Amino acid sequence: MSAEIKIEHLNQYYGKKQALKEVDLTIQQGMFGLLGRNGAGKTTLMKVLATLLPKSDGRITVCGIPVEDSARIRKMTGYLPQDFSMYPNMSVYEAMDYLGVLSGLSTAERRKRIPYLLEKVNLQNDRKTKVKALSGGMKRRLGIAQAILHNPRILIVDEPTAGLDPEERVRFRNLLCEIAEERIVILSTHIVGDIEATCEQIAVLNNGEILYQGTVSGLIEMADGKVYTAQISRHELPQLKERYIVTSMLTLGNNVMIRFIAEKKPFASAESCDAGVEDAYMYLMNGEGSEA
Amino acid sequence: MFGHLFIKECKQTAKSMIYWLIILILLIFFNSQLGSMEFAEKPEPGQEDYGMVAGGDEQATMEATLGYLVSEYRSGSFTTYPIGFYKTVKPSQKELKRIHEIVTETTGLSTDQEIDDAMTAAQGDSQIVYGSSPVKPKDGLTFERFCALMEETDDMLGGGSNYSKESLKTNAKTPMTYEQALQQYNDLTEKDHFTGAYARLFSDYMGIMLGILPVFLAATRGMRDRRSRMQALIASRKASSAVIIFSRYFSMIVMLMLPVLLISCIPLSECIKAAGGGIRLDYLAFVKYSVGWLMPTAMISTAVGMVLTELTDTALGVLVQLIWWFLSVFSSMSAMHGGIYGWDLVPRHNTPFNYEGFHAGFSQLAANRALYAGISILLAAVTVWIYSLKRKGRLDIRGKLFGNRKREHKA
Amino acid sequence: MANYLEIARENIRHNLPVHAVTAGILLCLSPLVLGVKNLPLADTAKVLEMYVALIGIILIPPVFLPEQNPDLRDLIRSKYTKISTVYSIRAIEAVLVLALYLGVYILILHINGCQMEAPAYYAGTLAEMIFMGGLGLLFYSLTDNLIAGYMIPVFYYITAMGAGSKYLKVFYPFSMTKGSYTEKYWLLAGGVILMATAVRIRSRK
Repeated sequence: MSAEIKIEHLNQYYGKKQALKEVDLTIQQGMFGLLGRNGAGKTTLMKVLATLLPKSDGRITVCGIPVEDSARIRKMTGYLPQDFSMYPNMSVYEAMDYLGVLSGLSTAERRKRIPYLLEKVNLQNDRKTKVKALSGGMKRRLGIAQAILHNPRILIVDEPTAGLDPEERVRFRNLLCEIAEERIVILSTHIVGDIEATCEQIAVLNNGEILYQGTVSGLIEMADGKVYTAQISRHELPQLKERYIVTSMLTLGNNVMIRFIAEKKPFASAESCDAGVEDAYMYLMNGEGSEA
Repeated sequence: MFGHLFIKECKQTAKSMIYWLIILILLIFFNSQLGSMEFAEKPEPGQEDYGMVAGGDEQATMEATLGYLVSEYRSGSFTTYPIGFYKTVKPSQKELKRIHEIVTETTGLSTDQEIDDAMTAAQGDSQIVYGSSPVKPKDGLTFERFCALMEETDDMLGGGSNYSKESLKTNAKTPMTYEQALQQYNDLTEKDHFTGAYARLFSDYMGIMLGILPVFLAATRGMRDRRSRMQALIASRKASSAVIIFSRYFSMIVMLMLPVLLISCIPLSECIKAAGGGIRLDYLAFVKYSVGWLMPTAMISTAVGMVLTELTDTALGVLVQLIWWFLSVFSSMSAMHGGIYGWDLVPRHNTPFNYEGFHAGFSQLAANRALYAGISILLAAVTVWIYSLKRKGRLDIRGKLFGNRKREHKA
Repeated sequence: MANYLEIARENIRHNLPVHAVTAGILLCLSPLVLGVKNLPLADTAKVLEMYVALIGIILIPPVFLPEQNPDLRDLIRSKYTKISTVYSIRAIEAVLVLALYLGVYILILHINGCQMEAPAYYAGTLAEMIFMGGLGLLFYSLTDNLIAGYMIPVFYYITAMGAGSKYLKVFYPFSMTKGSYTEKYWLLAGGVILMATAVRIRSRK
């Protein structure tokens, strides 16, 4: 059995609306980042992979098993939805135990695995805390712990860092990287920083279509030589924003330091600089240099 | 996996507010209806009154029923209780004509004058038969023919009239003799072993509650996953839909029957006290009746709640069960005395006596209970099917009903 | 004022219809199972008290339903309009729908030749509806569970049927059938207090 997910010609419809169009993807072991705006189709794609949505059209195999065989897929998949919670009156341990039973773990396995995972997500001191009393970050960590409870070969996490504070976000990314060492982890996000820090392979989705698939460095290469910085006066800014994709700016008194994308050097004072993932993503999303 | 899940579901039920409310209601209801039980005593000869007994021989039944028929025919309006609510039925001219034919065939009376004379004669009679003034049937009328004609009349009136099968059994009422009273008491102690009769009375009352309360538990359980946004976490796991749904279903049944069995210890202990020595008691009677009589009721109302909640993610199950319960309880009020169990959701037997009726209606009761137990398992299986479809994203009735959009509140 | 109308309209558009239609269906079905023609006084009262009044349980408890999600509740609470105002407006609308339905129903009974003391029957039945609905609303607010909000008034109804006035005394709901109206004043007062208490409790949660 090959440890990869193959998606071929996947089309997905909600009534008349097409949520995914002709998606072709191969996902291998390690962290795989799915990047795109809200509503780009990331959640739909992940739900199909987690067998929570029937695919409308196309072919998907997970480690050689067709996605229609939901019983076998569920056995080896862990899923963390974007919007989730657990029975509020259960304690952290009880909730894990309940989900462990649903995953078919024996009592001995649960006794061993739950404390281990709670420690890993730094919830070992909250075993008896009720789910309703957890903060957003704690709930996310509990979420990731439940998703890997049955040691799945594939882990699907939908927008896991949404609503986390910066410190928690860093910790969470590290945790995911650690988990990804021996399995496929698919992570969706609309926050470019998440991908930059963790993923080697990525895909960019826009309006249900794959805009880019490949490595992070490959994405950056696309924008290479097209990123400039310049110091301009404030009143020039609106005009510039109209013509170029501005990826960041910093106000310095009456002047503004901007970073923007242009196909060729736009004016004398602009200085070329190295592209980052964010620049490349903005470049891609705005239609590869669709400058005015 | 099933066993572990079953236990976890039981624990969850034990922690839910609605469960304890149900127990509280069961206790209050038991206390208000059976809190101070009065036990039957052995009748002594020479008592002034032994109570009335419904029914009588064929002659008395015909006389009493025909008494109703002629007086209602003359007034042109018939009283019926199709589901326990009073309903006046005014038959059409064509139907009245047919009823007139029936009156003539059964009583020999034809003109209005003859009928009025007969009614006056009946009322003037010193022998009072409760409920109606008896009118003599025509000579040569067989009981079979009489029953057939009454059934036809009842059908014309839409059911629930004085001429229905059930009514025929109770239209004539006669005072009980000492022998009859003694026989009834002996049935209670010997055939019913005392406890059996009171277990039946217990079932009669508790069945009313178990016909409706479980649906609230099932609806709450069914909505809990959605409310706590846990659906996807559960749906994406290995456990099969059958294991998930049936562990929930059986745990609810067990947790519902537990308080019923515990409460039944109270009347049992009172029975033991009241019986003293002398009577051979059936100590397991309350358990037998709880499982055989009450459990199917709890099973079906749980299943209705479960299947409709799973299908719609709304409280629709509560409404449906409430309507069914309402119709059933009101329509079976005429059969309160027991013996006529039909296909009622809540079979009634509101007396420690009438063992005879119970015995005669037993196979009907057994069929009734088996049917509901069977249907409830079937509904649970349908729930499994619905759940497995929802799990794969193939069914979303709620989404269709309310729309998936997250609407903005302008308030 | 315009703001209040907006709340009322929002409720009419999104929340009320499902429950109002359900209650309407229940009333339309009544002629199938019970007599609604030429009823004597006591039987008219029975139909109103034991059947029609049940729609109070359907219409009043869901007043809190749109904000079942706690996050949404916080969102609404953060707005200028008090959440208790929103609830109160919805509760009043529910009572208005009940009043309307009941009026139409009694009119039909009257046309069908049922005997009645129309004003007393109207007010008495409405009082019972408000009491049963208020009871449900209170338990909804206490348990945060709509289902409990349906269950408790249903239990009250069954108790009234079984144990009757012996236990419920002045809160006995089926008194008109026996020709007594004093209970209805208690039911109305009790119902209003229950609803107000429920709104108060819910607004703080």
